Order: sequence, then structure tokens, then C-alpha cells
Amino acid sequence: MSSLKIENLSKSFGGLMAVNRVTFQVEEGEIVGLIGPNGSGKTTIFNLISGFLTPDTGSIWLGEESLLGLKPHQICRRGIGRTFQIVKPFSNLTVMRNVRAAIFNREREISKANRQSDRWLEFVGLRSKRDELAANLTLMERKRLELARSLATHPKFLLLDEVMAGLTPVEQKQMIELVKKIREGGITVIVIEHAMRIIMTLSDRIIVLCFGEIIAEGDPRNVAQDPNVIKSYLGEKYSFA
Amino acid sequence: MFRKKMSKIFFLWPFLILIAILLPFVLPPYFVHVLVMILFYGYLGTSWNILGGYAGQFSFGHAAFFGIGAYASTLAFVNWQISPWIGMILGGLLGMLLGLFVGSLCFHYGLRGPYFALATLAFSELLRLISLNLELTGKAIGLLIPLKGNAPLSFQHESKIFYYFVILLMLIGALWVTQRIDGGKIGDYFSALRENEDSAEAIGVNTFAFKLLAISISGFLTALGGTFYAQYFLYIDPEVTFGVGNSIEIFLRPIVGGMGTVYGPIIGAFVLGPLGEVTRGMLGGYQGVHLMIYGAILVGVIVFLPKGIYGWFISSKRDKDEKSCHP
Amino acid sequence: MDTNILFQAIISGLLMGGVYALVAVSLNLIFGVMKIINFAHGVFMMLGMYFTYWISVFLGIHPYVSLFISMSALFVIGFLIQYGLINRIMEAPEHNQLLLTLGIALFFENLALFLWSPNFRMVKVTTLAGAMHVGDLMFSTPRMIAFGAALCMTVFLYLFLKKTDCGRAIRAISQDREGAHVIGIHMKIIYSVAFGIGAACVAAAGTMITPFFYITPTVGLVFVITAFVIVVLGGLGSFWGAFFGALIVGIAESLGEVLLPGSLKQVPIYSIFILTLLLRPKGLFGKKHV
Repeated sequence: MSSLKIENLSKSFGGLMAVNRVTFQVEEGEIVGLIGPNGSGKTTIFNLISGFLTPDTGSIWLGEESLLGLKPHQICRRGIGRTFQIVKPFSNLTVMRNVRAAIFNREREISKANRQSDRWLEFVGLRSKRDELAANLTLMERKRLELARSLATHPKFLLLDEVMAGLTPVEQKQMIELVKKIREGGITVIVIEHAMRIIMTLSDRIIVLCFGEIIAEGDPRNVAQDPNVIKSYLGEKYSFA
Repeated sequence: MFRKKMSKIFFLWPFLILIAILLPFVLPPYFVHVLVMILFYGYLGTSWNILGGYAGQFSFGHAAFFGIGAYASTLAFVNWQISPWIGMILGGLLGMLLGLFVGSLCFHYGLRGPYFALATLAFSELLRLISLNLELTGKAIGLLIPLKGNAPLSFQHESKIFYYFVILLMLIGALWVTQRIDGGKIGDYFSALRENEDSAEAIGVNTFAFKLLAISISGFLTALGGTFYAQYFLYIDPEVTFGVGNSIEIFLRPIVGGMGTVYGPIIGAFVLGPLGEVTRGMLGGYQGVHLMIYGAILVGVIVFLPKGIYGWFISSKRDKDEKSCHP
Repeated sequence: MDTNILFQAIISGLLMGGVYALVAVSLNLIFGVMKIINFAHGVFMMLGMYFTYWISVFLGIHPYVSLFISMSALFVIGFLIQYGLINRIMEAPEHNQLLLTLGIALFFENLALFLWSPNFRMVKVTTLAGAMHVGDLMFSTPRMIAFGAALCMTVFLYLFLKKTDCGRAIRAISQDREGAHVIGIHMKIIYSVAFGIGAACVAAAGTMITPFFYITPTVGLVFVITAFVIVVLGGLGSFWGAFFGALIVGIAESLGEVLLPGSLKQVPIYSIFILTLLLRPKGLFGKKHV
């Protein structure tokens, strides 16, 4: 059982401390929610973990292995997948080829790769759109595509960055079901979310960030009633402290 | 439906091949020359397309690879009597190394889009200035390839038909390379990093390595074209090899024909080639007058057919197929 | 090395730098506003030079007087090009815009070659020619006037952008395309005006140098490449970056001319260019919205 361990992670941009000595651990099989107001450093942490940014200080461990200094594609090979807050499909490729590109990591034969792509498209519910150009998809379809693409790399840990953004309530429900299905498939999920309600339904455990620091961690219900959390989300007026 | 059409075209292949083989023998030398030039620029465009169309890294300085190939084989021949055939391979390797050098620098520092284009322009200009001032390369006067008459082993012949078949084979080779890339893993990776580099990295594509692969292949092939040019015209100078005009002529075909497609560049060549000749015939005057028409065509293509002629053809066919499948 | 020669080189470099400044600053206006890499910029300058030349040949009007004619002509040409062509592809990928302006440049440069041949031409001026001498140093009068005029225009351009409504609209669009759209500014017109102004300014630069610079259809190419080097060095989007970058490049080029043999004078410029692109693509004064 390997865990993802973040220790004392810090990153600043031109004097502004985006992530400040963040430490937490994610065990296999969990769904962990990462929440916090805008600018609290959530996406920065994802970028640090997935290798798109290098931390100023701190370490990132996947099991016994350090992920520091690795490029994003190497981190992907080690089993960490991610989606982007603003979806980034391969617009001029078909849906199937979008996913197939991710499969070539592990499968060299084209016909097998094609079949596996279709399997993943089936999983996320996009099989019928397989030959459609990614540019022509709706937002929800693009998010499904992004999931399929990440899943096709067989990640052990999946970082989902605001997957719910911009979706209708019906679509959000579908997405929640999809995330649960992913966990049932044996993948550990870390979810960045804005809305408390969604995070509560989805996560086993919540980590709350504010100005780059962790201000609360634990069971969703307890965290929701933590005065610090309430203060950071709703402002001084509403805190009970 | 598409398959039926494909099998119909299949019938035509033997005829096309026959025509291709017989054509230079029945045409007058001027037309053979025009054909050679069309195939030549189609070849160069196909080579450029691997980096610019498939991998999506728009190069404005392919003249650099071209020139290195041309000068390498020529210098080897003139100074050490090394056959231009071998010189061509040497030039190709140098082109590949140059590609690795330029690519490593540019890609390591994350140059993309127009910045990468401008950087490649700067590199080709530097090479032009160097060859313009170096005794070895003949400075502004350039280099003459010694006349050997009918000497196919020295990559020379008095008849243009020889060159026609050489460039035809080179073109087929380049098309084959492109086809292999287009259908396989490398093509998917190139397309991925072209469409969205971050996403490509996130799904495990080593974008740096594959960009280097693209520029190496492209540089190698383009350099071979440089040697062909040297052996065909028997004269090279800094402007005609390393000049910006050359870079432009190289990427013009893929853009007009369709970047990122196998046949786009050669289709572009068949459009621009005759048009250039006709323009030069009608307007006379100096050498580059056809560029005026090319400029206008470029504007027209960008505004009305941004995917290029062949690219537009493919996408409108796909839309038609879609519509017929989903009534 | 004779220090006089060095000083002389620095001075002519500075004077030419002023002209480069106008070229670079106007290129920057177009890039800063519309994110268009305008390869046709050099061709506008070339057209301005030819307008001036033909006006002087057929009407006998001095370049400094016909300045406004060439500027107006190029404003109209620039406006129409933006309005009719470039506006159509504003949403297309970046390299398409680069290619479009390249196509325009190819067209005009070769049209000029066809109509007017590659022969070098020069505008003959008798008034305000000559030079001033200070000690051992020579200040060519036309070059100084060109420098002065370019500076004035750069300042006017700066004030225009900062103080006028039109200028503010242009800046608003460059900073926030969607926001400006919401306020209801007619973007197409603004873009076209900005492009026209850019063209007019670089045409002015062309006009001002006709008394001492050879006119030929290919003159645009060298200037446009130099302009891009300057703009990248100074920082894309930065007005003062383009201005000071131009002075630096002018001096560097001039020094290169005296210190390096042959045509190698361009080598330091291209080298600086590559280094800037690699190491500090923001340029010396670059803004974030690059």
C-alpha cells in the first residue's frame, strides 16, 4: 500500500506565499477533498504534486519514492494523474484519439490501444461520441473526456481540479457518481472543490486551505463546523469565536 | 462509402506509377524542370511538415538545415572529393545535429509559437551571416560544384530526367516517413503535444524528447534537400541557401496544401509550382515576381481556408460522412 | 582604436536608434493591442519611403513637407488591411496572424520590386542637408532631424495613448478584451485605427530617413527583423522597453559596424536576440501580459 505524502511544501511567487509549509498524507483508497477560498493555493499544490511547478522547499513522496524534480510525464508514469481546472482537450483530434494518446504509455499495438480507448470511453459514458472532434463537445463531455484520458494512464492517484465547475446540478450528480465509480475501481482520488455541499457528499476526509496554509483537516462534518473554516469562508461576522 | 472510393482509387495506382515513370521522357526539358521543382519543394515541405504540421512547432528557419546540407556535401566534394551521395548523408547528419542543438536550446527554455518561430529565424540568419563572411564557404560569391557531365555516381547528369527520379524517390521516402508517423504512436504523441502541451505531459508524453525527435527528423530530411539543390543547380550561395526567402518557400507549400496531413505539402507544391511559373512567364522581370502571387495566395488561404486545401478537403469529407451516418 | 571613431559610431548609432525607436514603438502598439506579430511593418515603412520618393520626384515636394501625405496614405492602407483582412482572423491561432501579415509583406514587397525594380533610389535634398561639426565629431543634419522627428512622434504616440479617449480605448482593449467588449467599444474600428496608426508611424520613420538612406523594395525586411529584435529585447508590450531597446540596438549595430568586418555587424544583434528569447523572454522591461 503506497501513500502520497506531502511534507512542508512551500511555494512563493514573487514574494507572495502561495503554499506555506503544507503537510498532509493521502492513503490508498481514500477520497480526499481539498477546499478553500479562491487563491488559497489548491491548484498550486496540484501543480507541485504533478510536476508542473517546482517547490521552493518541502518534499513529495509516493510510497518510498521522492517525486521532487521529476517532470510531469515522469510523474504520470509513476501513477499520478490529474485533470485541469480549465479543461484542455486535444481539440483537433477525435475523442477516441484523445484517449488513445494516453494509452500508448503502456500499450504499443494500435488495435489493442483502440480497444482500450473504447473501454475507457465506455466507462465515462462517451462511447457514442468516439469519432467526434473534441472541439465539438459540450463542457460536460469534455470533462468526461479529460477523465477518460487520465484514467487511461492507469493512475494510482487521481487529482481532480474543480471538476464540478460550470456543470448543471444534474451533470454534477452524474459527475459525483463517476468519481465514486473511479474510487470503486481502486483509484485514490484527491478532489479540489469550491462548493461545501459537493465535497461533503464525496469525501471521506477534508483538508481546508486558507492563504496557502492548512487550517483544518478531518471528517467533513467536523470540519464544516470548525470556526476557523467558517471564518475563512464567510468572514469574521459569522464566526462564533 | 469511403471504402468504396478507396478501392476505386486503388485501381488507379498502377496507372499513376506508370505515368510518373514515363512522364519525364515525353515532356520537353523545361517541363521536366518545372516538375522537378514541384517535387523538390513538395519534398522540402513534407520534411518541414513533420516539425511544423505534426508536432506543431512552426519553424521560420528551415533554411538553416537546407544550407547546412548544401554546404556540407559541396565542401566535402570540392575539398576532399567525397561523393555527394555520401556528402548528402553527412549533410543530413549535420542537419539532424543542428536540429538537436537548436531544439535543445529552444525547447529547454520553453519557446513556443511565434517565439520559437523567431528564434529559428535568428539561427538561420546567423548561419547566413557566417557563411557570408567565411573564406571557406566562398563568402558572398558562394561555391561552384565542379562540372562532371554524366556522372550519376557523383550525383550529376546532363539530363534533368536523372534528377527527376532522384527527387521522386526522395519524395516517396519522405511521404513514407510521414505516413508511418501519421498512423502510429509517434503521430499521436506529436498531435497531443501540438494540441496541448500541458495535457500531453499530464498523460505521460515526454514532450521535450518528442519535440527533439521531430526537429531531428525534419532537419535531417531538409538537409538532404539542400544537397539535391546543390547538385541540381551546381551553384550555392548564402542567400539562396540560408536566406529567409528559402524558409518561406519551404513552409508555404504545407500551409497552402494543409499542415499536419500527409499529402498537404505535395498538393501545395502542385498548386504553387505551376502558378509561379505562369506568373513569371506573364510578368517577366526579375526572379521573385511569383512571390507576389504567393503572398496573395497565402493571405487568401489564411483567411478563407486556414486548414489548407487538402486539410479543408479532409474535414469537409468528415462532415459529410458524419451527416450521412446520423440522418 | 581611435576613440573618435568610437564616439562617432555611438552618435550615429544613437541617432539611428531614435528612428528604430519609432519603428519599434509602433510595432509594439500593434503587438500590445492586438497580439499580432506584424510582419508587414517593414513593408509599410518601405511604402512610406516610396511615396515620399515619388512625391519628391513628380511634385518636387521636400520629404519633411510630404510627411503627412505619406503618413495619411499608410494610415488608410493599414486601416483597410486590419478592417478587411486581419479582423476576420482575430480568433484564429497566433501563427495564422503572423502568416497573414507575412503574406501581405510578400505581396507588397514583390509588387514594389515588380513596379519599381530593385534599383536603389535616393531622395535628393538640398535644404537641411549637410552636417554640423562639434570638435572632431560630425552630426549629419538629416540624421539629427530624423532623430528629432522620431522622438517627437514617439512622444506624441505616448501622449495619444495615455491622454486621448481613443488612446484609452485602445489601451483598454489591450488589457482586457472581453471587458472592453462589454463596455461597447466598437472593437473592429479600434483595432483598425490602432493598426493604421502603427502603419502611419512607421511610414513616418521611413519618410524621415529618405534623405540619407537608400530606398529599395527589400529595405523593409531588415527593418522589420531589427524591430522584432528590439521589441523582444525591450519587452513585448512595453512602450519604454521598445524605446530604450531601440537606442541600445542602434548603438550596438553601429559599434558592430566599426568593430566587426564585413556584414558581421548583425551577428551581435541576432545573438542578443536569441539570448533574450531563451533567458529572458519578457525582455528588459516586459509586462506580464506577454
